[in-house]
Parts: sequence; structure tokens; C-alpha cells
Amino acid sequence: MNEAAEGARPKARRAISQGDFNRILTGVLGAGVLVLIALGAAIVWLALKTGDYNDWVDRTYVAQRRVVAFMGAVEQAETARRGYLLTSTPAQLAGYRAARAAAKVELFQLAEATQDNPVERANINRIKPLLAWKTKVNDDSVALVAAGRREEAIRAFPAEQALQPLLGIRKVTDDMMAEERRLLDQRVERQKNAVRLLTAVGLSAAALLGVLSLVSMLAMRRFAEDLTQAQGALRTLNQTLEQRVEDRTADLTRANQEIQRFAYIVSHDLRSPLVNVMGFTSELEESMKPLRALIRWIEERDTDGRLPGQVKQAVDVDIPEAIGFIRSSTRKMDGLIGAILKLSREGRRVLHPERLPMEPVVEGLLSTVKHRVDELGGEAVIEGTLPDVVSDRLAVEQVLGNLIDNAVKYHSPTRPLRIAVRGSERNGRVVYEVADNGRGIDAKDHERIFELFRRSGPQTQPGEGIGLAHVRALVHRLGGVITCVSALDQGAVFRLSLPRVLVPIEGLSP
Amino acid sequence: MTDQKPVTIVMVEDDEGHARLIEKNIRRAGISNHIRHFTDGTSALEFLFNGPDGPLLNGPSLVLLDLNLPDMSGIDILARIKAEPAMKRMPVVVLTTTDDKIEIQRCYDLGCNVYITKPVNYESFADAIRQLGLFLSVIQVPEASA
Repeated sequence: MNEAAEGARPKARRAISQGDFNRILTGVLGAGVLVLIALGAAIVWLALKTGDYNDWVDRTYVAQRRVVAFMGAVEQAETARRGYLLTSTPAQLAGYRAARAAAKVELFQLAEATQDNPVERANINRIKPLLAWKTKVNDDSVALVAAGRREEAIRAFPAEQALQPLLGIRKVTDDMMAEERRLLDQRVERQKNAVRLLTAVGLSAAALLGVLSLVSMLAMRRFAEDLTQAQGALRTLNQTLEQRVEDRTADLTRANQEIQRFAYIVSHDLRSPLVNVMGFTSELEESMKPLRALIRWIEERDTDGRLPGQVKQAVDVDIPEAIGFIRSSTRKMDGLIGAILKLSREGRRVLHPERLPMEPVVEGLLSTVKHRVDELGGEAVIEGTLPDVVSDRLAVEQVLGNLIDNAVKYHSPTRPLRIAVRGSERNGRVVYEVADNGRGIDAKDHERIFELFRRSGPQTQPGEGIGLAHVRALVHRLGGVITCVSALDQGAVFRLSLPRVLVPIEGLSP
Repeated sequence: MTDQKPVTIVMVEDDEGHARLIEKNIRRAGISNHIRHFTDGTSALEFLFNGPDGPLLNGPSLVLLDLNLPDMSGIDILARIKAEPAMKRMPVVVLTTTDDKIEIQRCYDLGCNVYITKPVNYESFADAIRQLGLFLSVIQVPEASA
């Protein structure tokens, strides 16, 4: 049966404990939160960065627009000057003047827009003399026309070097456009990089979260498996438990029956020779009567003292004394054997659990010792209330009665006797205490006093050391425990703990 | 006992001392019948069933039976006697130290006529045997029905 039970127990396996599982889960969730925070930070950073890039790109576009506008104004001035050379109308002159002013303004604004770029600043510085030169050539030509020397101005046109600064300006603005394009490319590239970085961060975060959720899922699955397994083991254990209890009970019953049988046989077989010892002692005593009569008869006639003194001594003193000792010893032995027999019989008695109103029960027991307690000038009381118990009435009465008797018997002569019976209830068990202020029991004897034929302290009271052995045997049968708390001359407390409801074990009583 | 054939008392008792004490006290009660004593079950059964002067072949008998014998239980002897048609009417007095209720019931179930527990105290013991003797002096024992 033991083997079956061992087999049913699951093999020892490295199982995830609740604590491990919690740690793993917390770790995984914590890591997941960290990854999410990092991802959020990266996104915010990139958004800010993108805003920056957009600003920069805008500025590039603005710079490019300014370059174009400036170039437009320069070209406009040239076109208006040529128109004035051909037509000499005041409208053309006004157009020229407006374009000339616009070119100056546009250059200023262009310089403003590209101020942060040293390359463009250098370009602006290259443009400035070229624009001044060009403006001078234009102004000279317009002044000639205004002075009415149009032909002279037209004649000078092919020769004049008006085209040269214009070409120079065009070249520089082309450079500026190229520079701005380069900047734009560079900035777009940076933004692309940032997006790539964000993508990479996002992907790795997703991968990391995936791994973490996989880990937590595995842990959870493992935990769930362990849980299922533990439940299975528990179920098996529960199922086998009943069987095991039954087996143990059967073992116990067998052992109990064997002990009782043994006690019975021993007491019975010891009794048999005792009958002979007692019987033949009586026969011997009977035979002594005629013998003694004979001695008397001889004595009466023995005037010269021929009857030896030893004969008289033997018949009158030695033999009766020997017979007396044989008798008292056999009587004592009979008592002891009777005690064993009583214990074994008590063990065989069928218990009848019933609800015991403990206060009347204990009052009844106390009233049986009242007379002796009164004689001693003491008192025996119930302290507080006593919880009721469902148990065997006779056994409980015998146990408590024995304890109360002992309390009276072993009182201290130096103080008035006080016996208190107390009770309490906890965890489905009731506890009764019989406390006295008697002579007490030495700590080394606390276990011994419950053994058969063992007694403690000065042997001033009659007894055979049976009472407490009987008490303990009874208490064990009632499923209880009895202990003793005491010190010499400090009184004694016998504490009896019983199940609140006695469930007799089937088969324990034959 | 009666004016018929004298009744033989068959005593099955393993303890010589007990046997002697029983005999003495029966005699003190004035019983003078012949007492056959056996200290073990085997020889007692041999006498009961095959003895040339045993109860099967010879006159009426009465059995004083102890239950605790070295070679068998007195209950076995009781059962054998009560199962034998020729002997089942023979009175059997179980005289033993056992006072176990179940044993007593079993003996009566098997047909024992009287069950007496030997008291340990000698005065009670002597008294019980003497009373048994008085009892034996008045009971009627049937003829052996062989």
C-alpha cells in the first residue's frame, strides 16, 4: 500500500513556483514597458527633429525664391533699359528705375536669407561689385538717352561691356542655386536617415516586444502546466488518501487487538498459577491446624522441656508469618493482574458517543468527593463555563473522576485544598483542566506517572499505579491527549484535550 | 448420584494444582465418584472416544472441562463431544479461568451445560467447587446411549 502511494506521487520535477512565475512576469512586463518608453522617446525626438528639418528646408526654398527674384529683378532692369534705348518713352524709364530699385532690395533680402551660410555670404560679396558695375553701365546708358543722345547710346551698346557683369551675376546666382540645392539634398538625406533610424528603432522594439511576450507566454504556459500537474497530483493524493486512512486504521485496529489479546492472555495465564499458590497456601494453613493442636498437646505433657524451641517457633511464628507474606503478595499480584485485565477489558468496550452536558457531569463528579474535601477544609469548584462535548459518558466520567480523586488524594497538608475544573474550546477540540494546589509532581515524573504500576513522590497513599495509566488509555481511545503541568509542591494541572465530537473508528472496538 | 450405574467424572485440566484443588473440594462436598484426570486434550479425546472404560463403551459420565489446554482448546473437545450422537447428552461443565463473554457464548452455543469461571481468590474458588459438588450430587445424568 505504501508503494502504491509512493507511485502515485509525481516524480520530482523542476517546477516553476508561484514566486518564480511572478518574478518572470514582472521582469518581462518591466522590460516591455522600458522598450515602449524608449520607442516613444525615439518618436518624439524624431518628430522634433523633423520639425527642425522642415524649417531648414523651408529656409532653403526661401533662399532659392530670393535668388530667383533677385535674378528676375536684374533681368527686368536690363530688359527695361534696352526698351528705353529703343523707344525712349518715359514708361520704359520708370520701368527701368523700378527694376533697378527692386534689384537692390532683392539683393538685400537675399543676403538676409542666406546670412547663416558662409558660402552664400561669399557669393553675395561676389555679386555686390558685379551689380554695382552693371548698375553703373545701365545708368550711363539711360543718362545718354535722357540727354537726347540716343544714337550715341545705341552706338555704344554693342561696345559697352554691359553683358559682362550680367553674365557674372548669372554665374554667381547659378552657384547660389547649386549651393541651396546641395543644402536641400543634404537636409533631405538627413531626414531620410532619421526616418530610417526611427524605422529601425520601431522594428527592433517590435522584435523585442515580441520576444518578451513570447517569454511571458512560455512562462505562463509552463506555469499552467505545472498547475495542472499539481492539481492532478492533488487529486490522486486525495483519492489514495482515503485508502491510506483505511489501511492505517486497519493496521491500528490490528495492533490494538493484538495488544488487547496479549494483555488478556498474559493476565489470564498469570492468574492460573496464582490460583494454585493461593489454593495451596490455604491448604497449608488448614493443615497447620491439626499440627498446632498436636504441638499444644505435646506441650501440655512435655514437663521436662524435651520439645525443641525451634519446633514451637516454627509452628507458632515462622510458618504463619511465611503464609501471611505469601498471602499478601499473591493478593497484591492478583490486584495487578486484575488491573491489566481491567485495562484490556476497557480497551474492548464499545464506545457510545453522546452529547455530554459537562457542567452537570463535573458537578456530579465533584459531589462524590465533596465529603472528603469538606473534611480537609478545602473546596472543589468549576471555574467559568465548561464547553459540552460529544463523547463516551462512562469514559469521560472515569477520566475526570480519576483526576479529581487524585487531586484530593495528593493534597498538600500545609494549605487548604482547592480543586478547580476549567474548560475551553478551540479548533474543534475541547480542553478541560483539573487544577489543584496539592503536593505537585516532579518534572522528571510527568511522563512516568502515566505508565502502568508507576507512581511518583512519597508513597504515603495507597494505590498501585494504575489510575493514570487507565486514564491515558481511555483518553487515547477517545482520540484525546492528556498532559501534566506541575512542579514539586506547586500543585498540578492535568490538561485533557478531546475532539469536540468523538467519531468512533469502525473496528477499533471488537 | 443416582441409584443407577456410578457416574464417572472425566476431568480435563492441564494444571495439576488446579486438578488437585478441584478434586479435594469435590470430595469435601461429599462426592465420592471415580474421577479420571487428563492433562491434555489428545489423551482426553482418546479416552472419551476409544477408552475401553470410556463413556462411549461404559456407563454414564460427566465432563469437567478446562478451556486452556496445551495441545488444543477445550472448545474443540466440547464440539467433538456434542457432535457425537452417542455422547451429546453427556453433561459438560466448563470450568475455566476465562471469563470472556464471547467465549462463554460460544461454549453455550456448542451445547455446554454449565459454564463456571474459576475465581482467583481461593475461598471463592473452594466455595464454587464445593457448590459444584453439591450440584453434581443432585443432577441426573443420562445413560450412555451407545
